[in-house]
Amino acid sequence: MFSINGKKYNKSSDEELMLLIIQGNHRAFEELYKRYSKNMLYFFYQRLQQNNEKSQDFLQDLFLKVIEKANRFDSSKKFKIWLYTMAANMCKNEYRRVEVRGVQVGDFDFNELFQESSTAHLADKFDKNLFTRLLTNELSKLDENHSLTFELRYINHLSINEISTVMECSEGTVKSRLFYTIRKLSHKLEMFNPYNEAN
Amino acid sequence: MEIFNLELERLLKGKPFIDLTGSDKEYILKHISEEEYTRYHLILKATIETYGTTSPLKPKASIEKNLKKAFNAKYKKPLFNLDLLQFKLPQLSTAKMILASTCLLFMAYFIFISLPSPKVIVQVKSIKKHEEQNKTYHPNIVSIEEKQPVTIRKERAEKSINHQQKNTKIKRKDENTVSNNDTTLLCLTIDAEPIGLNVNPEDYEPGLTANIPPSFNNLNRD
Repeated sequence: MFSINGKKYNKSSDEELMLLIIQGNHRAFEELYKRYSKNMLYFFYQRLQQNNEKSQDFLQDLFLKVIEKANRFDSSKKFKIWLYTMAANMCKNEYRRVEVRGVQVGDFDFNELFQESSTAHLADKFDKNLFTRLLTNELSKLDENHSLTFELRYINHLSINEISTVMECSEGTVKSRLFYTIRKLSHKLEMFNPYNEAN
Repeated sequence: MEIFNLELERLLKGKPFIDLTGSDKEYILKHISEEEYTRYHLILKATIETYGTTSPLKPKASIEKNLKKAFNAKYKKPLFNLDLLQFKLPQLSTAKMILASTCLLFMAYFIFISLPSPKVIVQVKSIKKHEEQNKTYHPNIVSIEEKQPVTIRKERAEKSINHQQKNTKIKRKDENTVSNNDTTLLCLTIDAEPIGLNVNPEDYEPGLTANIPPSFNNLNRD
């Protein structure tokens, strides 16, 4: 498929597609949606305690905002950052709305699970499902800025510079938050620590 | 000193401490201990392996439909609005389409009229009238007209009468008709003029060329 200027939609940059969207080009919007829908859904899924239904609603709301606010988009800036900024703000507003933040990590007893083996060494017994649940649980207990920084970096794969723009802080602050979060998680998820041998 | 830099992060996301080079180990130990490196390395490695690079989730199909409706509602204005009938086209795209179509039409028109008209080579043998006089006639095209068959039949009938009445005249007209379709005929009126006695016809052009109106195409008759 070709855009009006002869370039294929899938070869156009995000910013070029946004300019076409402002002119009412639906094909350009479809291409942007195709590029970002899965990743943004996953972003919401992580931020909203793995609630799939809510994540789908938020995804739709996010792209409705893209349609409504397309003419406010500054084409000199990156679309990806604009999109993640809107998504992060949506989650922030949701947190403020919801009084209790928690996560359902399953109806089993963790202590019982880990007492079954002397060590839950990562190299020997790595259960992805378990790790995901525990990580999500621990991240939800952290400060929102720290958990968001960690997820944007290691789950959504944004650069330090992009994260600093989304979160409106310096790159040094981003690095500091990342290091703090990794250190905190390594203590909380000690069962995966090979040095933590049971007696 | 910045304790968490991109180089340290790169190493943490890579190999276990035991598999690092000497220089890398030395670099790491300037910032964190081996135990810390191992713990952080495992957390990052587990996170990256668990979440991967692509999302395992899929958006619902209904989201795309809803977004399309919302997009059309915002960006597409009705071209005209009747109670029962409403066509919607994007305003800017409509203007561009109309402009582009108009330009194409003009271009097509200018190309069409500047195209060379097909020509018909009419081979007319030299007409010899009154062989005893050895006169040679050089044909000249008098006119090219599009005529209806009824008109042609009428003219032929008149000419036949005239010819009988004026058969003593040297100058005569001949007609070649080239048919393109059943409704209209192309009539080539050729006038044969005497060019002199004992003249070699080969000294003259072997045939005549004439511009045929554009409505007659694919003429292949000599």
